[in-house]
Amino acid sequence: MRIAILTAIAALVLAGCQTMTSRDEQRVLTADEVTRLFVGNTVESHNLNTSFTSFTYYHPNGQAVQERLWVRRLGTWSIQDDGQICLAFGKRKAKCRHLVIDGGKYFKVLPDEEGANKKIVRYRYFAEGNALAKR
Amino acid sequence: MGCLRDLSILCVLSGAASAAVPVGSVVMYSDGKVEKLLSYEKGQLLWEDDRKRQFLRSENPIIPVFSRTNFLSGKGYSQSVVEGNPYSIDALPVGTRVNFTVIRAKHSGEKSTRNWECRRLGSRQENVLGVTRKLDIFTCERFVLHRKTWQKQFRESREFSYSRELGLVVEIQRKTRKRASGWRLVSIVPPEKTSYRHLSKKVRKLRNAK
Repeated sequence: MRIAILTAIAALVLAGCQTMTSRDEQRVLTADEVTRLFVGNTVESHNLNTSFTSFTYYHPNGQAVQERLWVRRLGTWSIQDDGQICLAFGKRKAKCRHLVIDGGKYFKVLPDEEGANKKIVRYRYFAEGNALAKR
Repeated sequence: MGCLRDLSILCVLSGAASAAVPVGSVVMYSDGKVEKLLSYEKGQLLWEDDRKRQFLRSENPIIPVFSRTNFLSGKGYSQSVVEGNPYSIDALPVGTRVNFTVIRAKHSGEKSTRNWECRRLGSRQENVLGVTRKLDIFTCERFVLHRKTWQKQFRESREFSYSRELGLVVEIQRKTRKRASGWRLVSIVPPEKTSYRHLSKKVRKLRNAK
């Protein structure tokens, strides 16, 4: 009986550790995870360098509609096999970046000079459908 | 402002009365906050910030925001005055205390009561964005009443100046039990100049200077 209780406690502690690890460690998102988060959704993102907020709808047909400071622009998006999301607006070349989850929060990252992931955008909210069409 | 003088009666009759700053204007504050005026109707102004959170405010600056709604989540709250008459503050002598109670109902259903006591401290002339304007000075305190003793317990205070001409709070100092903060109006961008290029340049400069 005593062994059973101790085993149960140990299992609970270990489960807790596992939960903490998966929540706290930074991890690069797979293409499937990125697809689930973005495709057909409107996403609120906060640029950590400029502190600007933008709202982007990722249409399943590859078109992106983005609003920043009440001004909209059209672009295109795609997701690469390694999970990088690529965005292009206007005549500019597409920029492809990895996304990470860190402490339950989602970020876009850019490798710095030492190869470490530098967070450049924080994704604040993911909403189903084209929320920009309603406004 | 938005209606020509000859058309002002028509504007009022049609319900298209204009706010002090034209609808579509973007205002910026020293703390980096940026808001756009979306509509003005029957003394209520609908503002939206750059996170697309909407705030419905009264023309009467002592009345707390009527409603706040977050864009994507739809979360927020609405507030209504259930006791007292905050509109009486203009008619009463300077320094008279005006008490009123507001019920805040979150969209999730949770409700809370908020008690306010405000005073108009007077008015002064001040240079606001290059123009000398008359500002009314107000002080408001929010409190709760102790369940047993019914004594006032401080929650927050706001001292602010308000321009009726602009329909905007020009400067505010806010204190809670834990911290003090404040901001002042730093820019009004007219609707015809609200291009992304123009706004982003100003916002970047403002937020970098913080």
